[in-house]
Amino acid sequence: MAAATDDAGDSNEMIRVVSSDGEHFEMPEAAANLSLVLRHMIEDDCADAAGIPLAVVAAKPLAKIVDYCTKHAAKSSGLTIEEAEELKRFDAEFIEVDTDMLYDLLVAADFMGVEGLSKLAVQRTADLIKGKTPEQNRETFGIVNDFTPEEEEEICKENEWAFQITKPPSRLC
Amino acid sequence: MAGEHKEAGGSFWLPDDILIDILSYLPAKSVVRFRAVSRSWRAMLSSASFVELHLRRANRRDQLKVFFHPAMPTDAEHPDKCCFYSWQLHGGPAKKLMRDDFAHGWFAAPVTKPLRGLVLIRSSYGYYVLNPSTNAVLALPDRKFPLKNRIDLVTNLSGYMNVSYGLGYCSATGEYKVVRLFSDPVSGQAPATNGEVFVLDALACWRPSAQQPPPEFIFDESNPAVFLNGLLHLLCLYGFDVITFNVSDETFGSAPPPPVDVDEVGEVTLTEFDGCLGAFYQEAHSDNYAYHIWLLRDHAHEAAHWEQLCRIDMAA
Repeated sequence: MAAATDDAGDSNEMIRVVSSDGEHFEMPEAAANLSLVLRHMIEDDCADAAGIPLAVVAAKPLAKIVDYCTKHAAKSSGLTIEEAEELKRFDAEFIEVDTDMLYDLLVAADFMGVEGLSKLAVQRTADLIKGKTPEQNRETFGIVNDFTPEEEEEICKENEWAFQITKPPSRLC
Repeated sequence: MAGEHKEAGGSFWLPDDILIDILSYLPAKSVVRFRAVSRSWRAMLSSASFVELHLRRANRRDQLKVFFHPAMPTDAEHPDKCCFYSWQLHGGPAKKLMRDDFAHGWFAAPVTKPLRGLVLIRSSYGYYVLNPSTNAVLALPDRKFPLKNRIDLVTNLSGYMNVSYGLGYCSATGEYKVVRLFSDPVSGQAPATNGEVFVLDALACWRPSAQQPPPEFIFDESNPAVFLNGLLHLLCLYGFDVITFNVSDETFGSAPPPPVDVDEVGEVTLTEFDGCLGAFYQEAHSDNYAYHIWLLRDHAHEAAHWEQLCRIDMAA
């Protein structure tokens, strides 16, 4: 029972964070601990009533991240199969976002060191771009094609099989 | 703020480490295609460190895959060709990987588990190394078997020597080596050179292995070598001794033989389970199909010992 009391003690403590555009958010300490950056701040006693300032994370993605961490912290250890399934469904719905939000989540989760969310956003981005042509990817990532036409043709010929895209490119991006 | 990195026109810029992370989750086919995006993408997606990362991601523990090849051609468009498939637990229907262009509708089967994306294949026409992700196929030269194109070899008719093949990887040099060991079960006399090595992407010929295998052991084609922790493991006929071959320095050693009674068990097969050397066999003298699976624990240590993992009774 001692462990349960400790857990309850932890989650009673609310941690305040402030977005780059000045909005305040609150989450249980257990949720904040899922972020490497916040955990270090808490350990260093930097979490006070004024809130931890997150200078590069705007309110919109921060609200999502607080959601994510709160949900995952509530169900962190000793999951039943049903709970694990439910968390999976939560993740799948959670990451159904537009490209702008996906981008913000990629960058913010990386900055805040929220490993599970980083992986989720990275996998989602990979799923979105995997069926694309090189040209579509150049557009998505703002890359200039620096191959000569001859070189490009040669690369395509060398790996002809890889350029036969059977599925229509996924939406978004 | 993140938005500052976004450029007009909807494209966005990501730090290299996040971008590499994303690309490492792509299927091999997409990775190869995206090498045509730009010079820097090509360099990054072709680098040894990326290939290593991609392999790790593709072989996550929660993404176990089965690689297989049906005995009969399955593609209505190409009835004379067989396909290889990969299937993932809970991953929907099996995915067709490629057509084999080397078996011509005949027997062809993976000899080894995929090793870093490469598979050793035995067909009626000889041995091949293939990369199912890129469709690359390499026919291995066969100077000891000038008649390798003859189907006789499959049945291993007398007059030919026994041979056992294996595919290994040397992490220090990044070399893939195919190894084959010959033995003569009839005379028990080993040929002068009975261990040979073929290095992929190097000289296109077999060369003698640095050290030769002990001549008293008999290898068999139905017991291909199992690669694990830098060592190829070969099970010998008549006694189930396990010979190891170090792929880096090409020396031979031994591992404890699986503790099975030679008289009780007909055939033992070596394999890799969960990072351990494994052995399995069918229960002899029994009408129900029951299989025993053993694991070699503490492989690299003095304390190495075999431990029975389970007995699977197919009737139950």
